[in-house]
This record gives sequence, structure tokens and C-alpha cells, in this order.
Amino acid sequence: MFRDITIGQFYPVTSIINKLDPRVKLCGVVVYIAAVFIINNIFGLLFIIAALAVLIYLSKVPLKHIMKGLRFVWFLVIIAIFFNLFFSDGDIIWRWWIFHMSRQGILRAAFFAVRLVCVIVGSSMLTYTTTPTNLTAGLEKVMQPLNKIHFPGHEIAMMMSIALRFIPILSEEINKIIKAQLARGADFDSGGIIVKAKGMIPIMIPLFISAFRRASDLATAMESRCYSGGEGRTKMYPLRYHKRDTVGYIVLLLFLLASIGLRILMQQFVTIGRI
Amino acid sequence: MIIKLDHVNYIYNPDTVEKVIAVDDVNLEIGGNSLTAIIGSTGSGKSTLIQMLNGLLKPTSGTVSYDGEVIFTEGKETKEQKKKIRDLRCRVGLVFQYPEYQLFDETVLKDVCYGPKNQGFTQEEAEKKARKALEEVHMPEKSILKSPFDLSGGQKRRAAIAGVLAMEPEVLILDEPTAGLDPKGKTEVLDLLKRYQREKETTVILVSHSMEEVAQYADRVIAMHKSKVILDGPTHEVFSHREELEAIGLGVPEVQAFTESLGIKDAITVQEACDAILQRQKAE
Repeated sequence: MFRDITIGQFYPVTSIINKLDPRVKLCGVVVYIAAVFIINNIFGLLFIIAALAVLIYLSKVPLKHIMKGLRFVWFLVIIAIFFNLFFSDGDIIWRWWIFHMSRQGILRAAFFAVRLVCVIVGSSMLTYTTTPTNLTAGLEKVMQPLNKIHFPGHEIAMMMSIALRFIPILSEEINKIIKAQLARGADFDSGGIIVKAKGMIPIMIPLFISAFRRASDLATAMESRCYSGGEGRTKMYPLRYHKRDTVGYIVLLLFLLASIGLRILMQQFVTIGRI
Repeated sequence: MIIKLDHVNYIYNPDTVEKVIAVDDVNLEIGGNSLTAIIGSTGSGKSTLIQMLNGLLKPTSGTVSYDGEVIFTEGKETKEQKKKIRDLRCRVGLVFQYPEYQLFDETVLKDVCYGPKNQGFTQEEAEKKARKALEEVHMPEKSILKSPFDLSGGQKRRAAIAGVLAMEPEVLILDEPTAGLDPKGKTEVLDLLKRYQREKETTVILVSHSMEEVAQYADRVIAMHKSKVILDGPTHEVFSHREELEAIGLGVPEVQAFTESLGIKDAITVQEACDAILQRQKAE
């Protein structure tokens, strides 16, 4: 039930994307999302799909694994397609009751679906290729300038890393509790919604107790190792830029320029497939 | 009641880089009036193995049968089959490691009632079974209406074991029932299991890391190493393979190692060692 939550989990392979500095990858996600919304024609769309394909190829994360992570968002995509497809105004080509399909609507639905999937896959590539430790180190570094206005960058990064670290722990815990209650004859499948909700109590209470216990253990462990916030704390492996990171930034810049270029250039030549 | 495993394999995360073979071609028959101990170092596949015995995990290949009936058949799970597996889980009771973490209800009594109520017994019947189970684990009368979270560690453990005993399983399986308990708590839990097994003349299977416990309580020992069963037999016989056991990081009871240096064979508990030494003194 709660197993196989692949979205947002590091996939352990060695690849060039994996080795990149997390700051480059964070910047990459922002650039990619921006590009997805800059492009407005079919060529641009093909361009960002191709870019994503290259990225996935370089990252060595199997496509099958990524698709598995997408399982939970298909629902969202389908709803988005549905509303764009049947409720868009424009040159109406089909009509029934309150539903109507238009040429523009079909295009918009297709665009929207592809954009949504691209954004989700693109941003989940960040977590697939970056260890939680690296990710938070990167975030902390990116947020550092905000320290001047007393923005608690380190604390936020620490909270994030703990939260991320706890996802697999708690999902393992929940599986253990489910199994333990199944062994006591629990039946989580049958019954109406109220019976099912009530059936969750023997899972939720032990889970909460265990989460609190772990949190308090962790706090004690951190304090007994003299943790006192970010001030003056040094890193075992400080982030350092390498040559490949410079190359990464250049590629990102070129990618952004190309997306903008595609939008402006194609404006003149392409009239079909534009929204 | 016999649980039979036939060429059973279990693989975690098949077809990914994190693929782990947890149980590798295991053939076993466990049952009858006996207390069986499963030993093996961490990660040797013990916990996976016992979860297949009551249908919580479906073997990747091979069959597990209970009482001559195969638990998982090929193909899609039907409603009927699901019910059959649930029924099986009630007949083969499994107590997980640190079972006190599964306690959830307001009082100990209500928590122990959870199992029997899932089996379909009425409140009254369930309470009767729960009280009986709590008596079997020697829960003090004044504690059974307390919140399970107010009990001591050993009492919590016994309350959780009672939660499974109340279902009156034909086979009882426990994963490291003594982990994290103090010496008194350990003896209490093991004594109650042994007594339960003798009185009901049923099958009890337990996973343990303590060779002393195993030597003293078990009739039969199954040793696992790297997902395979490497030794299986009566307790004395298994402990006579000292080199093999030491090679896989388990060893023999300390008292046996000590008496062997005195030239006494086959004394695996303190009692047996005492008898052997006294006998030898007499002979001299």
C-alpha cells in the first residue's frame, strides 16, 4: 500500500549527472521549469522533451523506474486533460450537452499534459540523482545570502533533510505495523469507508507513537553531539565547483537561450500548433 | 499440523539494482509437538522465512503448504483465496520483533481483544479469550485495565504476545521474543513459551540470537547462513557441529565451549555440564 514510493528517492548509480554539484542541479530545475513555460509551439515542446530524454539517458536512471514514480500523478494529468479538452472555447468541432471540443482545446490539452509530465519528471530527476545529504547541502548554500536578513537557511535545510530521511524510515515502519496487525487477523480490504477508516486506527496510533519516539531519540542524539544550529558549523565535505559544474552552467544557459530563441523565431514561421 | 516448504525462494526488489535474495531454495518441514529455534546472523533471511510461514509474504518461487494445503496458488488472488490466507494467519500466529510497538488500544484487555474480534468472535467471547491469554502470560490482574503504554518493558512484551495467544493459534512463531529485555524478562518470556508449548502440545517456532537460550529451550535447531539452511536437526546434534557454527559467526553455548576444553562432549546447558562433571568426579 505505502510501498514503492519512488518519487523523490535517490536512485543509487554513478553517472555524470549524479556527480554534478547540487547547486547546478537546483539551478537546472528552475531553468527547466522556466523553459517548459517559455516554449509555446510544437518545436519548442519537442526540444524540451529531447532535452529531458538526454538528461535521463545521462543520469542512467531506468525509464521504467521513473514511470513507476509517475503512477501517482497520472490522475492529475488526466483531470487536466479532461477539462482542457472538453471545456475550451475556440473553433468548435464537436458538441454534446455541456461538453464541447475545439481545435484550440485539443492542442491546449496536449500541451498541458506534456508540460505537466515534463515538469514532474524534470524536477524528480533532481531527487533521483542527488543524495539527500547533497541536496540539503546545496539548498543551504543557495539560501546562505538570505542569512543577512535573518532567514534561517540552515534550520530549514536541516528540517528538510530530516523530513526526507524519515520518509523511508516511516514507510518501513508503517509496513511493519501493517504486517503485525495483519498477523493478528486485521482486514484492511473489506467494508465501507467508515469501517476502513476505523481499521486504520491500529496502524496510525503505533505509527505516531513511533514517530514521536524517533524524533525525541534523534533530538537527544543530536544534542549529545553538541549540535546547536548552523552557526560556526563546518562540513566534512564542503561543496566545491569542478570543471564539469562550469560546463553544466554553460549548458543550462544555452538551453535557456535556445528555448527563448525557439519561441521568438518560430513566432514568425509557425502559425499552426501555437497557443 | 505441519508447515512444509518446498524449494522456496524469496527475492526483494527483483529486477532492480537493489535486488536481494533473502531466502534461497529452502526445503523444510516444521510441525508436531516441538519447540524449534531458527538461528543465524543478521541478514541471513530468518525474518523473511518466518513471514512466509503464515502467508504475509508470498514466495518468489516454490510453495509453502500448511496441513497439506498449498497457501499461495498461481494466478490472481481471488476473494476466496484472500479469505483463506486471513484464516491461515489466525491459525499460524506470528509475533514480530519488538511486538510492543504494535499496541494501540486504550487498555491492555481491549488491545488483546483485537485479534479474537478480527476472527469474528463477539465482544464477550473475545474478552474471555483475552483474559485467558493474559493469564497465560502472567499479567497481573491490576494491570489489564491499564493503558498498555503505562506498563514496563517486559510487561508490554508479554501483553503483545498475549495479543497473538488470544487467537489460539495452532502454530506460534516469534521473531526474537527476548530482544531488548532484561535477564528476568527474558527468562519469564521463554519459560512461558516453553510451558505453553508443553501444555498445548503444539508447535512453537522462535528466532533467537542467544545460543544459551536455544540450547536450554529448543528441541530442534535450524541454522541459516546467507539465505540458505545449512544445519537442521535436534539441538544436541546441531551444536555438535561447532566448527561450522563458528565459521558462520554463531558459535556454541559458552558452557559447551568450556566443558569441551575439559574433554566433556555434548553438554550444552549448565545443568548438563554440572551432571557430567559430577558424574566424572564420582567415577574418579
